Amino acid sequence: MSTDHKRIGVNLGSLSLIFFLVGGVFALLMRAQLATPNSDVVSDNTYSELFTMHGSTMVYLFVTPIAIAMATYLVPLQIGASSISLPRVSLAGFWVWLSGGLIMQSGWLTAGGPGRDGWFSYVPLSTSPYTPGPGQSLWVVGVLLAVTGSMLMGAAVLVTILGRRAPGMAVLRMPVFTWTALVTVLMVVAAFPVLLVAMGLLLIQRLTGADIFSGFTGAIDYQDLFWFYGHPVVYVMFFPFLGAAAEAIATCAHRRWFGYHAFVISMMAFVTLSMSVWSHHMYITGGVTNQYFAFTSTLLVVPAGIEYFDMMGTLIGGRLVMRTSMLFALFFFVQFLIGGLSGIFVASPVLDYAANDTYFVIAHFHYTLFAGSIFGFFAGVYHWFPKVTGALLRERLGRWQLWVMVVGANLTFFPMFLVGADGMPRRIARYPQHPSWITDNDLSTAGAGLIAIGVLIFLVNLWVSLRNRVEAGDDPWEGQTLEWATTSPPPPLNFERPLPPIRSFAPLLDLREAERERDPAGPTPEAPR
Amino acid sequence: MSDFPPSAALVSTRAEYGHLFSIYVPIAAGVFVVVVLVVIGAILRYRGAGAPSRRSNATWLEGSYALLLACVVAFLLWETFSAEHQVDTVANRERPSLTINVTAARWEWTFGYVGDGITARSGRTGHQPLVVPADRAIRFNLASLDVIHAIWVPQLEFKRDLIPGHTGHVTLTFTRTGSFGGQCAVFCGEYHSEMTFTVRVLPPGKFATWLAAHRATGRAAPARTGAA
Amino acid sequence: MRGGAWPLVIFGSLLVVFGVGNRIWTEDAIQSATYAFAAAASYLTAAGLSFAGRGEPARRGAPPPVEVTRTIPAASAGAVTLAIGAGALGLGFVFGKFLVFGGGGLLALGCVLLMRELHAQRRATVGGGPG
Repeated sequence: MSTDHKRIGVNLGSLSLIFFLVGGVFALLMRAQLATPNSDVVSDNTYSELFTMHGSTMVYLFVTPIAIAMATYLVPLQIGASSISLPRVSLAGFWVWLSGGLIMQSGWLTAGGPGRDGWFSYVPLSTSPYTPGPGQSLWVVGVLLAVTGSMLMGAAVLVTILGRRAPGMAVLRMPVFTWTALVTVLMVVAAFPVLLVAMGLLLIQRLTGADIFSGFTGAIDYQDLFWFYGHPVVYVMFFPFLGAAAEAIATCAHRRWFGYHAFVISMMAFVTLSMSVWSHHMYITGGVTNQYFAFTSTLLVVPAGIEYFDMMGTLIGGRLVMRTSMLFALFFFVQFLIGGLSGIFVASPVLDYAANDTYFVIAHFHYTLFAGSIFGFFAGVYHWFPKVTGALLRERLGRWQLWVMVVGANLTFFPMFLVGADGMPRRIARYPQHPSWITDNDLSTAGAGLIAIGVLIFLVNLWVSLRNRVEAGDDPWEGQTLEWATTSPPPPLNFERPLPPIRSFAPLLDLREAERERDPAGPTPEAPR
Repeated sequence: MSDFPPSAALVSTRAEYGHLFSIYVPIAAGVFVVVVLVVIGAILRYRGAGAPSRRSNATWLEGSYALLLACVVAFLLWETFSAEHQVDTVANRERPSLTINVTAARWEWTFGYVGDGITARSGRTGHQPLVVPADRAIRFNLASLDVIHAIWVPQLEFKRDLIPGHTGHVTLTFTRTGSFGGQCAVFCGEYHSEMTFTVRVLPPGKFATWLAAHRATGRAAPARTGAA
Repeated sequence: MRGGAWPLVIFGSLLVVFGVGNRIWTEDAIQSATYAFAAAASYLTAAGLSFAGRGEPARRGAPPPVEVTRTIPAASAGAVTLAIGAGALGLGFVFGKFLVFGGGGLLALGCVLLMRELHAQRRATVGGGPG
């Protein structure tokens, strides 16, 4: 009910995390099925439901909304605003998203089971002659509502960023995370409505039998509309975590993010390119112009390269303190690099003719989404948890979580590159008895178990840290941006003290540097935690 | 043998893939190693270091770096476009020695040898192999009767969708003899994982014999031919 | 440009550039349509923001003045009712008329509640003085 952006952000974040656990259970069931080649843990049909609901839960109900939750919570604080713009839109968006999530999952209660045509549910497979029953329709309605809700919340963030900045907070003085949030919500506003059109038409076709997506053209049009949303959304699931990792690294390096202007330019290029590459998902259809999309997709090397340059530039010459947030952020960059480089590989049509629809692609996007974005998310959690709750997370448990998840993620996803290059298609419930496939799949299943343990350690850490609180104070890390200039947790209207002067994207660092200049012999930098 | 004249320098999807792979993968591995080394080096050198540097921009360095990246992009695109031209354009200009109609339906493949009256079926219901000659251009006409499928032979490093309402064409050449797996690559419903087939690639001479023997009966090899 | 809408304009313009490139290279109608939609969406949002920004009071730093504080809603039953109505409506498309009617009713109720909230808020702002 509350229209406070902090409450909306925390509620959205917590519910997304619950969906993360749900989607994770689906993944574990799939890995159990694939541990042996001809397994009967679940039926073929249930397996289709599991991979569909795993992908849909993770994309529509976890990674996208938690990215928006971080933006909703942090952006007003970072730009020195007392509240979010369009608070009622944001609140309504939250409830629309939640009802969408529940409706999508409610398919499990129907006799025919939930949606089972994959998270992109191509036509004509997803039309009622081939997938009858309410489960798939509930999936369509759920996606429609979940994406509508995300879009409304994103719009509120966009209006906030552009209209509510504190005096002095020019657009080119916005913190790095706020910039990543801005480009994220630009895509939300420009790309999400296209999915609503596709899903709306699919729903009408399912319910009335109208021949909307018809024949070859219809099949290609659906894919074009879907991926016009579906590719930008993978950047929605990346940029905010890039911002979180960047803030964590800059803070733990005690200097400002290197190359801010290059970063801003590259983000603008990045976001436009990310809206221009969608048909690289359709190379093998024979229905799109592959060269154009190979061109735009490969061009992504340039802005992505700039981000890595800035990351390394920040590390070199810093005073590094290896906190858990820093470690998660570094693994975000390093592991995402594997996903990114394999992405350049599959951006080449000829290479994609081999890799598409195989485990190679699964490995590629799990390196970006899980080994990348989720690590960036945890960097953000360890960085901002003290701000949100006023209590510190345990560092020792954090390190256990980190290393278990690093081993787990690589053990799960690296063998998928091998088995995919060797010809194992995605979305099969049973596979032939090749010895190397069995080994690779067993490694993946073991890794998935480790990831689950890593997530459990995180939950234990949450529980311990909130039960036996170690008070964080307003600014435990020598933060650089405005959210560290208020209390932890922030008061209802965010700031009770006057804001410091804003002369750059790191106003608190400016103050600290000015102080050191006035009094070089002054207080020595605090001991590394 | 006059039925199957060898054409000069046929496009091999496998060779084009291998060529690009040998360019992309070493570059990617190199970039990964450099980044990891820089990160580790920076951690070792600057962990708990003294006062942090206050430099926050390196415009010239960043500009030239971006230019370098653009050159890498141009090189990769050049290689990719040449390979893509071979696979998608040049190959389809080749005069095929054999034309096969591929029809996909849940959950079965039907391969019809045009002009020879031979049909092979493979999938949920049985496993008749697709028999083809090596080193000959083969034209595949691709059609689907229901949902989207994709024909995929990992040995060829190639796959292509079969979309209802449209007949697609690809021209492919097998460069090795032997038996290879093939399957549907796009999820097409409950028994997607059983929509598989085997390709038997014979030397051209043997293939001509096989064709002559089966032309009369109008059926492909009876049932499954073991591991052949 | 008021309201700091220039990133939207750059974004829209870059989309136009890539959209034109796409048109020339691919001649694909639906792809051009999606590009056109995205560019239009960002331009219109920019225009809307600049327009809405005209009447805004000076930038809201913190702590906000009392008049501003009062216009920040603490909670909104209308928004929640509206959203749940939309959810029930969506469910109704699959499961039957009663949910369509129920959802539609909630949606309407939510609209009414929202109107009342906005009206009360405006009165508080326009009224100015304490109380």
